[in-house]
Amino acid sequence: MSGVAATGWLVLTVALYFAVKRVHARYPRQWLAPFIVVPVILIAILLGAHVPYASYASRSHWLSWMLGPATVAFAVPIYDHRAVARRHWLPLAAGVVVGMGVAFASSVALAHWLQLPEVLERSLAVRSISTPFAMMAAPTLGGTADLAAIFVVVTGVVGMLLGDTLLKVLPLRSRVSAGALFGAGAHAAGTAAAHRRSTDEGVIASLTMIVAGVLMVILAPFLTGLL
Amino acid sequence: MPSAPVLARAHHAGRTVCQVILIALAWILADALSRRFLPAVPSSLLGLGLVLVLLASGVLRRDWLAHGAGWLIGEMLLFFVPAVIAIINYLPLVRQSGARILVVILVSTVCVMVSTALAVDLVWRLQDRVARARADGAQS
Repeated sequence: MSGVAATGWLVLTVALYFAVKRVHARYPRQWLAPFIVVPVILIAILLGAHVPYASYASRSHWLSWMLGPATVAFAVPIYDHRAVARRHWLPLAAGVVVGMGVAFASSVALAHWLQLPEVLERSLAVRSISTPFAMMAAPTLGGTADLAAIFVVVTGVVGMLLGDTLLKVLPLRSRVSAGALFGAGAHAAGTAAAHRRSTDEGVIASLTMIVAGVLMVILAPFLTGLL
Repeated sequence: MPSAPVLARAHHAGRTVCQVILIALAWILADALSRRFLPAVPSSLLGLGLVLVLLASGVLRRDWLAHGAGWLIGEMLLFFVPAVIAIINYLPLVRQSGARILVVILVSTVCVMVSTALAVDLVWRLQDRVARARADGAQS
């Protein structure tokens, strides 16, 4: 595998990402969201050209490395929204604990019932949190970071599409709960959907998402004992 | 001679790059600390906590990080593209279990969303009731 070709895949990924982002800004349809279109196009190219994943990833892993600094960057929005966090910490803490408990228990129970292999069951358990956190928590639980990342993306699509419908049906009084629904159920995709509803809901969603991610990573070693 | 908007954009890009490097350095530092002293705490969480403490204590100023942090979070999708592409390593698995995986994700996501929203709403209402009772008590 030549270094030039490997670098080419990295450049192509970055170029395609920014191109699709521009198209999506121009035509804001949900199915044109970069997190759906970019992977689909790249997968089609790699499969069509019979390129093994290892050749693709030999340089592109630098992008994955950036997830570390990206997680650290969450310190800024937490700091910015500390007043909201302080005001609503009790309902949000309750929501995150309940939501992550349900995420873990329901994924494991459903996967077990449908007789899915163990590695899938364990990678599915962390899928409702933000990708960098999910990729950290999955190996601790006995899943794999790759599978977790894929499930996280699918969850984002599902959650983004379901959230508004669920909010119409549920008897909710507070806006805080609508934001939390998106943040806990569909991480960054949900946060974007919540932002479209109102800024307040977006802020609550992103706080919920970050806290849920942190909690899942901290709890993962203990949850392994339950499996 | 470049026009003013071009200079402004270059300035903005340069500042963002410097701030991203600063955040990456914080992560590298946290990673080294985690490996050396605290292997139980993931590097990214340690870095997040560290930066948050430094922001709260005023050692780091928000302006030094905000643009870089906004860029990193905004473009996060780009960073996990390679992990998602790894699905091509799991094609037999997808063919065999894809439908069942979708069922798990769909049902579980509904459960998570409903339970989280109801839990938050319940506690919010209780808190509201307590606050009102206190206000009434203070008035009478």
